[in-house]
Amino acid sequence: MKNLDEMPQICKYFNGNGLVKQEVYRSNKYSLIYVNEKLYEYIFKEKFNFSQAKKKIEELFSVTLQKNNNFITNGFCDKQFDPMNISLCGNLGSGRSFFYLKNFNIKGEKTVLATSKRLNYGDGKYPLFSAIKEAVFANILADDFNLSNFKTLAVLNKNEEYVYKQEYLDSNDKIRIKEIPVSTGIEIRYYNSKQLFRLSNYLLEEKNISQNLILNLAKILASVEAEKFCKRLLHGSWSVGNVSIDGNLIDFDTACFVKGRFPQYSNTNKYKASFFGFELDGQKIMIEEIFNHYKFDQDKKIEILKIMDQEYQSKLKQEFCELIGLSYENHYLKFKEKIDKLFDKFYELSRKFLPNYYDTDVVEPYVNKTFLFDFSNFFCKFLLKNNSTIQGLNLLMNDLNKVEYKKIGFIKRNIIQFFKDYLVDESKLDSYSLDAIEFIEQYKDLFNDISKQENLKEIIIKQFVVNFDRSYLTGNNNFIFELCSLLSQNKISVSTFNLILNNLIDANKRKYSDQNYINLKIYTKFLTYFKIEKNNIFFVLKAYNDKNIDFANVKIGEEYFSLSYKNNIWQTKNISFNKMQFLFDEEVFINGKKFNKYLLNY
Amino acid sequence: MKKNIRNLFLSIENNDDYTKGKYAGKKQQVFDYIRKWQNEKYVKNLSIKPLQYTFEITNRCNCNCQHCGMMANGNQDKKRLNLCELYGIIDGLFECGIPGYAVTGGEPFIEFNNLCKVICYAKGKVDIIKLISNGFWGENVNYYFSKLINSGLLKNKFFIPNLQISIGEQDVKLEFVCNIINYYVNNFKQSDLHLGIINTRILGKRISKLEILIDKYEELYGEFPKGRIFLTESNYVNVNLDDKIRKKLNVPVFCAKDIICDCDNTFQQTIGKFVGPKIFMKCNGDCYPCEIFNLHSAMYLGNYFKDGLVFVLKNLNKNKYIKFIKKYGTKGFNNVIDKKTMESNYFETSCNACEFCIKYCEKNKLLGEL
Repeated sequence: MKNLDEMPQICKYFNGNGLVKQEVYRSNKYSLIYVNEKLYEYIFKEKFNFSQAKKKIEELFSVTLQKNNNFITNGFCDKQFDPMNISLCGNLGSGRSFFYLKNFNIKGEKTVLATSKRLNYGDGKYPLFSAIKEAVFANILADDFNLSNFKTLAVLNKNEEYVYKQEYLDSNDKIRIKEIPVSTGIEIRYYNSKQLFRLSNYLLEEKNISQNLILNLAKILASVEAEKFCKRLLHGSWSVGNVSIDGNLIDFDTACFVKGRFPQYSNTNKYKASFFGFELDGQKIMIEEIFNHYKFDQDKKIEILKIMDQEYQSKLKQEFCELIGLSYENHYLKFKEKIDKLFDKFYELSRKFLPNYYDTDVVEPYVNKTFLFDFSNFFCKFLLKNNSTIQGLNLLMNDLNKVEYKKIGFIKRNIIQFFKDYLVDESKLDSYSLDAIEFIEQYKDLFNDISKQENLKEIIIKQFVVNFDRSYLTGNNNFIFELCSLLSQNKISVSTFNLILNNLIDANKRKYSDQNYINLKIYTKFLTYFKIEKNNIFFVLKAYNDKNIDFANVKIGEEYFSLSYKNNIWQTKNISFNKMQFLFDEEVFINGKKFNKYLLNY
Repeated sequence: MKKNIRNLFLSIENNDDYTKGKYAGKKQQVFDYIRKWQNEKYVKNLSIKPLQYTFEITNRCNCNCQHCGMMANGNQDKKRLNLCELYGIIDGLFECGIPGYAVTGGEPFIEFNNLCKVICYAKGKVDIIKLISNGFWGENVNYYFSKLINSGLLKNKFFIPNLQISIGEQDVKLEFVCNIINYYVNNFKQSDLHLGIINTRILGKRISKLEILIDKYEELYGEFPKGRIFLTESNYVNVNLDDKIRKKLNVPVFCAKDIICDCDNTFQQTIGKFVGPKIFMKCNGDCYPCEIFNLHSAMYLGNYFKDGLVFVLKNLNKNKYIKFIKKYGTKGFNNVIDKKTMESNYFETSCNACEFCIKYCEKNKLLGEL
């Protein structure tokens, strides 16, 4: 058991009255539904065992801020200040999270700072699916991004239902409210430095705001934005409240991964800076506002904004090198000219999209058929399949679907206003093809040069891993909500739910490492993915219940592989590198019969 | 072969008439009777309820065939079961609910006194289902048959007893076997006792042992009795045989993919071509789920003397390979092991192929918990 009297580590960053003490009480027992197994082992220094972890976490974190007779210790909620007045929504600070024990922040309890009258902002309620979504994104991004954010240790079901009110625009662009009965939960966030010390905390606390600190932060924000572009992450809600003083991302309610890199939004289409690839503009506005509010030197402000652009471009190139399987340190200087040319084309072409206005919303059905060039698909497969230029063109040009709308609202005006330069002129599709062919020729040329100096095998594997589309987490995917529904209907067990989430997280990290997991598929009785190492490829199958599977095989290309069973995991022997091009459409056979029933249809 | 002599024999293939197979019940309702009997015994809650317990009464043999499939006259420490052990086995079968036993060897008839005593002791408790022999005692056929009958060979409750004479490579004179056949056809009805001949197929032999047997019979007794005797033909050889001798024997081989389908054992209660499920006990007490040819650790069920019959029965029911075969049949291995492996490994019998498959699965951990 952790020391209950221990002060939160975050307290040392607050100098004045930025933290409000609140009494924490024992609550009715919550139910653990997700635990980050590796983080659990790190924190509690013991080998993970689900039932043991469940007992320990439920005991430690079944707590509430609602007064009762069972006082435990004090928690602390953080006050915030937003000079732009966009992040707090009428609250005085964190309205539903508080710091608890040494390294934890519990999200999902109404605090004394929850003063907002706005829908869903002042009641402290945290829908379980939102908690799970944040846990998934936090734990992926903490490992995927160079600057690691907080991690989520666990999510617990509070075993209480409430009606979540979701705002949406109807076909007449009127705001409507949809009522959805959902379970509520708490998320246990873990931090070990300033990952949760928000810029808005600093602005409230500090009387003498440091320009240098803001400059450093601005550079980091630009760098993070470049990573977001290449790693295809849309945060959706930048603000002084959603970023730490060190540039760590906080709060992922509106976050999603995207398939294409064209402008698309998850939160609002009112602002250009809310669209994918343009959130840097938001960060710049934020820095500008701080400068204005504190009446800093305006010349310095202009200089910082320029530095942000430079930092963004520089980091983009580094990340682009990663996307094409290269190392910035080892390859960029050697092939600078060729990589620069490719990068410029990539940056320009990857944003091109059809005027499918409504489908710039990440939840719309044709969002993935709206962008013109699928660079991820191209980088993933082109060298692997040793393709010709024409075949490369087929990989690069996306499968489009032009959508005709009966009625267009404000969205068209916004899209044209913000992104006119990126809208595809359909009469010029041929010229786009020529651009693409030129890119492919240059790409072939670059790798022809590289192949004279080194074997391309590891580069190809890296390209494959880094560019592989993320499973179940791209914008229009409602997988997490549906998965939570299955849990609440008892259609899947908690241990299955936890297994799925841990693998969903691991199989969606795209930072190339010694062990990479891709192509997660979640079936009704098991899940599968490929484990890719430098010299090995394995197909892995994890059953929800071992009694379901007596033996298993997988067909990859035309070859069948038997799976070995050890420690509750089924796995093939090493699959040869030349089978890698077939890793997309494997067929699984369970007990001798083809199995293709998926848990949810995504 | 000079004529189609196989037509002289009864088919060993299964049919729906449980009183007509190579192994048969005394009544068509044999399974109902057995189920009722087993419901009062230890096995009632087990998924696999054996019908037969086969044991080596001795592993010694008066023949010394190079490729003996029974691995007789080997280096085993324990050479024979004593009377106390035999009676103990019978009592155990009765208490646990295994309705029949089969006696094999070595050559069981060199332990003829104890054999008769155990048949006598088992009378009214459990049935003698099968006796296997090389037929050397056919030299004095009246004596042996009389003693067997007097001991209670024909007093079974459920099964028609079956006498199997192997004529493989033994050097027993075939006229002794002919004496047995002749005595049998003249003294027993099909419903009293079944007689079968086991012939080993050896490639390259110009004249088969079976032909010689029939010629001998016709020479001694006239026309060979058509439709009275069962014929089992096999390719069994000693699995531990030296490879050079094995090659010399020129036994036909088949790829695992095909021959693995030949085994009909699914550990369901069955009589006809064979009796199953069963437990096979070596002379030293080691137990396995199949007779003779699958003696390897993955199929080891325990030692009767050290662990007891209950332990062996429990293991029979929890062994994952047995569960697998029960669920999918041995042909199911074709779905587990990759095609290339199954097509590139050759075996003489389905038993050898089954052993290979089990060992391959074990080495590569291809089966789950089952």
